[in-house]
Amino acid sequence: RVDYLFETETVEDQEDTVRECKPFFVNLKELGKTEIAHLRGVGLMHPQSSSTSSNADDESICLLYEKHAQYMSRAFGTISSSFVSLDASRPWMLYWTLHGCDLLGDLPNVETLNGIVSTLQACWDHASNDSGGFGGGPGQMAHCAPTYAAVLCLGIIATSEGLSEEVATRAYKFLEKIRKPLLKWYLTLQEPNGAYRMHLDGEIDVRATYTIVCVAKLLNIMNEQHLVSDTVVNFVRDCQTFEGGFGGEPGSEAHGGYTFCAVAALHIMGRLDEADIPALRGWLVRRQMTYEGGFQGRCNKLVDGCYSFWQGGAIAIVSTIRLEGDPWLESTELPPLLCVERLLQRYILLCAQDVNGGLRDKPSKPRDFYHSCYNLSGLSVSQHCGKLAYGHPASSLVAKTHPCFNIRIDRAEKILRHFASPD
Amino acid sequence: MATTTMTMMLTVAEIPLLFSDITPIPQDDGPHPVCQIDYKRDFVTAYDTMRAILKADERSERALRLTALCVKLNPANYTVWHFRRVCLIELGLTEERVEQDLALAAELGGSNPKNYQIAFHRRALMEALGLDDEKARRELGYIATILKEDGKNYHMWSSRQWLIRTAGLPALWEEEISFVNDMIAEDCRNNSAWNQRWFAVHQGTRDALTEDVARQEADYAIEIAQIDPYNESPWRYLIGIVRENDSLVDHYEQAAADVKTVLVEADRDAEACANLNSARIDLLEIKGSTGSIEEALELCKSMSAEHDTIRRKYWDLRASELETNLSTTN
Repeated sequence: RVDYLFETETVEDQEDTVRECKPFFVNLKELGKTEIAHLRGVGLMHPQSSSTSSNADDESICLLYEKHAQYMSRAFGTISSSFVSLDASRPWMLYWTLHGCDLLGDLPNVETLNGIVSTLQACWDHASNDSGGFGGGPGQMAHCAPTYAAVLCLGIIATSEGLSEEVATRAYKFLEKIRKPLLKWYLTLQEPNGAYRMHLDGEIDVRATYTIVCVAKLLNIMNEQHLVSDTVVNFVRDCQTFEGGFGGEPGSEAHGGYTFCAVAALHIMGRLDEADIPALRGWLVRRQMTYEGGFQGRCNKLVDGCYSFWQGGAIAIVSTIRLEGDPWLESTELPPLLCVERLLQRYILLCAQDVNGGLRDKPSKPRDFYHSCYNLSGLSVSQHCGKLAYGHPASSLVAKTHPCFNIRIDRAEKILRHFASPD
Repeated sequence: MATTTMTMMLTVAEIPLLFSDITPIPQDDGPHPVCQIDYKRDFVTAYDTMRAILKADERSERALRLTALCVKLNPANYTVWHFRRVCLIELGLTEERVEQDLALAAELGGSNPKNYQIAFHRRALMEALGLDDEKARRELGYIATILKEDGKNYHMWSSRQWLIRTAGLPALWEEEISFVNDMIAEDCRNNSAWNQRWFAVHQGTRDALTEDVARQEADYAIEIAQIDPYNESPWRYLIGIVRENDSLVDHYEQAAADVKTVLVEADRDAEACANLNSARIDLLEIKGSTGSIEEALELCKSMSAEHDTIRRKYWDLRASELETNLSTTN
């Protein structure tokens, strides 16, 4: 399966991965009655599907909606002390699970939504007079990553007026209150070379640029002062490497997570065409794994379900390079995706799903909230920006996410409209 | 080293005595908390005290020792790492203190190889103290030991780049090429090492190489590609080099095609190596003559149809772009 002439550790690791995925690529026609019954029993195979028709495999497999929603809603209660390593990432956990549930069409109840708003409010950090951001927990310093996560959560809740006018209004009011303080705080993080730090005196990398322009665009503070400028754009461009993808800082290795951040940031700033698009395109398509169907994060590394979104989302964004405006909000017909949707969706549904709920990196890894979010987000992009090419047509669809912001497009649209009007 | 860090750190048991004057501040999760972690008692004791210290902005020895305990309990708590640095600067950042902190970071880093804060803490300390030849080399040595465990550790490679840039010692650039050679010899598919090679050879700039150096690099890439033509890394490196110095294209387009003999000798289908073909397509496109474009076009079609079908849509797109190229030049 792995083509090589000279074996190295990379080859061994890749062969191990192929071996671990192989059993999950079930050939339904070769399964016995007991095995089929088992698959139906755990909900992976649709009860009404045929195991003998020519499209049996492609159209039988289901997404385990309830199990995944159940798993992710654990985050809305109390979680075990083993999560202490994520104690500085609580807004992240809330975003991964809230957005994950949203994609499954299963937002938690109003009481929980209120709890999320309150908890996020407790994570607000006044950096100084009228400036601030969200920290990873109460009493923690403002940091770009939890700020991004918190704003997206509040955005999801603010646009859930169908569930509760009251909590939606609460969320909107809070976002309105923090718009200006966020802008002020963001400006303090900018470096002379156009880079942004993740927090006061913190590390510089392209994630900071992305999280900032994403929030700024949604809350309509992007065109203020020098938040976005040629130097800001040029720092991001400098992160593109000879391989065609982007690294975290200029010189660092091309990597899926940072590539997504760079591509989405450039697109939001309307400057994606200033990157080397042919090189970027080539790098992105080479990241889809021939055997597994999912994406790797870097050349010569292993498949990982989370890259379904980081790489898949970047592919979706780059595919719209010749289109004006926000092609996902306008009813523009989207250009085809350069990856194979069928194989990606197959990887997510067969290898990344944990039958007990939640999704994972690869079969040998345990499920977690982060991988649940990004496998589902990647599935969404591939289904809606591409096409539904694997899975039961009525039992594998997720809601449509916006490839730049990664919240549902109807929510993104409402938020943009809400903050577009002058105060 | 372990002894040093033990004295740097508190035990939870020492907290009541050492901080008897401090009223701990419990965490305020707001009125209806969600995502509440069921903290262990030791964690609560340490962090309730830490909160009080942070609020009072007490930059003292005991505060420093408390931050060590708190980052041990959660190495990802960037607020505590930041405050630790604030304390260190207040108390006077001496070489000895930096050394101790690097040891602390190393101890924590061992079991947390993907932790941003630890890698950044090392950088921040060295930046504050200033880098000299000896310190830079020692840190490069430390990073090398981490890379021995995981040759692709992203933060460690980034830190190496930062170190070499910041130290500003010309010798380090050459030595880095040597280091990279060793890493590639160890695993020619280590893409991080290839990326580092690009960085070292360009001395961290985006300026094109001189033609001589470019040839050396292209030769190296071909040499490694010959070991295993299925390996993507040397091919993309070669393409990068030639794009920067397109006077090289005629020679290296031929050299790339010649690598097929390695496949023939190994009894493999010489036309079916996707990474080799992909490189040839790019090189032929750079070459740009009608004949080259036609050849590239044929290769795109065979990639789409047979040799790299997962990327069919991409190869069809490349083919149509090449066709447009042909029709506009004719």
